This record gives sequence, structure tokens and C-alpha cells, in this order.
Amino acid sequence: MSKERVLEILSYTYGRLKEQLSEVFENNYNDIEEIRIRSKRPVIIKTSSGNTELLDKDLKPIVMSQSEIDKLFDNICENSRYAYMNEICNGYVTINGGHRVGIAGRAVCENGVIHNFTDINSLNIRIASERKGASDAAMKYVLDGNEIKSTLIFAPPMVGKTTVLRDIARQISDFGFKVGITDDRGEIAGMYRGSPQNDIGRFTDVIENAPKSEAIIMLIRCMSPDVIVTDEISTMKECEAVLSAVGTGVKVIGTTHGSNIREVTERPVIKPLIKSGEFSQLLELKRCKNELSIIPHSISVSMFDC
Amino acid sequence: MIRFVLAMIVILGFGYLGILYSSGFKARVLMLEELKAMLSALEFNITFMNLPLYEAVLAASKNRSERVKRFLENTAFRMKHRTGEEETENIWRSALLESEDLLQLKKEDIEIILEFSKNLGKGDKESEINNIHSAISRIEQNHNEALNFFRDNSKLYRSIGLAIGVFVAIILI
Repeated sequence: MSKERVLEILSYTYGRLKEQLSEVFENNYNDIEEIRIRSKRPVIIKTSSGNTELLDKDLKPIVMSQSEIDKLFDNICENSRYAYMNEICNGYVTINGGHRVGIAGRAVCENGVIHNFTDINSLNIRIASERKGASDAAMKYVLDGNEIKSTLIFAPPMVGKTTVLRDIARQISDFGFKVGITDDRGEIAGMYRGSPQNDIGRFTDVIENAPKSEAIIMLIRCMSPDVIVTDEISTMKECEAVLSAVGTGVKVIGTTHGSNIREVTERPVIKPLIKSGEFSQLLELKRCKNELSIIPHSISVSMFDC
Repeated sequence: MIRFVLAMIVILGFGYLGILYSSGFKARVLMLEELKAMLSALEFNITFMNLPLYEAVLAASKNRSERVKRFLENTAFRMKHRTGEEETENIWRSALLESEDLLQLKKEDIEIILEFSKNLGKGDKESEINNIHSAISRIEQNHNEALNFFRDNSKLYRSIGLAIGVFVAIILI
């Protein structure tokens, strides 16, 4: 991740938060994972080594008031909330640099559907973590000679599934495969105003902000991809869309939450994918002392016969 | 002969002053029409193009008269380069103050724009549309008043100009 991209965050901040963050970025830009800003509580910086409070010049924790958070959120939305309403309703906003700002507050619902968020009292600025080469270890399982194998990657949250997935997309795209990415939360490509902020490869098309199940079908119909890359398969609709993709001969590389192979293969959403015989391997992602490792699991359909 | 030429010059001069004065009323009518068109363009840029505010304002400046264009470009520039805490309303206020002479609007017209800028960018598309429509309907009211005033008074001021010219010419001759 380049320093310039991390520094983009500063253009949304102001006052003491901006001053102190710029100091932190200057010294430690590569190790910051999250900046958590909560109303009337200290600002927290999360790095690979843990959480620390952001301190002001007098070494006191910086505490943001509700009105300061409101103003900060207005800046994050470029003072144009209407332009980000789809993202706001999904609980995040993607900013320049591909960083994602998660929000928490009071949801305004109508017939069970979220229409807006008001009284936003928590912001989680999640620094985009583009790490080229993060998928090097996974590539030998994904790429079989000149063929792509449909693959599921699983790990608990915050291990780096999306980082690996993005790098796989980049590598297979640069290898010459047409890649279609469904990026419903803007995390893979980090799209900002139509431009990917992350390197996702030369032959990659992205549908952002659309439900994954619909985006997969749209990509197959319109962009004729060789491979579809999709993050966090978690609903039956998404599972069905993935099945229809593999049914048309398109390979799918996806991720899902899970801490062990048994848990993942027993999930009703994943079972049909494995039963289809298309996903013959699952890659388990582990993180130890900031190092990612891949554990391959071979799966056979017969496992489910009994 | 010289007297006749001088008299004609005086009459035409005052007549021209009358036309010049009455054209001031027309300038406001035209400017209000421009503002209405600008707000419609802004609505399109917000609802259909989904552009953030500064880009929506900049895009709305295209195809406008030079004066409105300059005002909108200035507003968009200030919005883009605002300091963290600056409110949208204050940006419009200072841009309007800077362009007051340029725009030839009355206080009540400026009030509409300021009122409109208060809620700009704070809600969803529906509330932005309501805000724009409310400003357009208030501008329409002012436009109708300005148009009636122009129709009623422009002939009067032109005639007064000519009459004063004739009067001065008679006295001088």
C-alpha cells in the first residue's frame, strides 16, 4: 500500500484529528489496519500489534464529540449524502484510496428495509490493504497449468481473505484470463468514482454495489468472463448464482467465513457448491505473526453421499 | 442645422438613457430564468448522474451565461477545496456576495438561493429534489413579478427618457 493512498484519508479529516493522524501516518502508515472513531470515546488506531489510543499534543486521548463525527461523516460523503445513499444503507462508504468507512448509528427503516442512517456515532476507517504477492502461495492451487480451478477460500474475519482474493484476481487477469469481479461492498477493487483503486489486473471487469447474485448473472451475460471472483458467499441466492456460473463453464473463485474445514463444508450455503463437483478444493487461510499461510483441502463429492 | 443636430443628439441621448434604465429590469428577468435552468440542471446531475455536489454544480455551469457560469464555477471550486469544517451554506453565501454585482439580483432572489443552500447535500435524493423544486417555484414567483414589472415599466421609462430629452432640447434651443 503506497503512502499516498493512506494519506488520502487526511483530506477528509480536519482539526486535531487531522494533525495527529498525519503524524501517525508519517511514522507508521504501512502497519495501520483500522481507525475507530466513536462518539465521546477515545479514537483508536488498530495495528498488527494491537489497539492504541490516538493522543493529542498533550498526550491526552483524542475524544470526538457527536457534532465532530457528523461533520467528519459529511466530509467522507463529500457533503453529498444522496450520492452515497446506497452505500450508507449498506453500512459503509468507500473513499478515495479505496479505504472503506464502516458506520454505526440509528437505522431508519421502512417495511424492514434500511432507508438511511442517522445519528451516526461510530466510524471505522478500514485501511485498504493491497498486498501484491499475497496470493503467491495460493496460485499453485488455483492455476493448474493453463487452467483455472474453481476454488473456495475460507478463514475467520480479519485474516486476509479479500486481500488474497484481490491478488488472485490480479495475477490470473495479468496471466490473460478475462476476470469478472462482483464487488458489492467495494472491498476487492476499491472502486472510487468508477476507477479501481487497487490493482486488479488488465483483463478485469467490475460490477460494484450490486447484489452478488445479480452481478454474477450480469457478468456472465454481458462480459463473457473466464473467471468470476466473488467475496463472502453467504446466502442461498449467491450459492445458486455461483452454481449457474459454473454450470455455464465459468470458473468461480470465492471466499467464505469459517474457522475449520468441517464447519465450512457443513454450512447449507456451501454444501451445494461442493456437491456440484466443481469445487474440488478449499483453501484455508491462516495468519501467524502477520504472515499468511495456505492449507489446501481436497474435497470429493462422495463425502456427502452417506 | 447645427441646432437641429444638437437637439436630435440630446433627444436620442436621453432616450437611450431611458432604454438603458429599463433594460436593468430585463436583466433580472433573464437572470432568474438562468437560475431556474441552473437548478433544473442541478436536479439532473444529482438524481440521474448521481454526482457529488461540487461536480453537480460545476456540470450545471455548462451552457449558462458567462455571469452565472463564473458564479457556479467559483462555488464549485470553493466546495471542492473547502477546509474540513466549512459549511456548504457559507460557501454559497460568500460566492453569492462576491458575485452580487455580476448577477444583478435583488435581495429577495439571493435569499432564495441562500435558503436553498442550507439543506443542500444533507439528505437523500428525494429531499434534494424537494429542496430544488421549492427553490424553483419561489424563483418562478419572483420571475413572474419581475416580468410584470418589466412589462409595466420598461415602456414608461423609455418614454420618460425621450420626454426629458425633448424637454432639455427645447430649453437648450
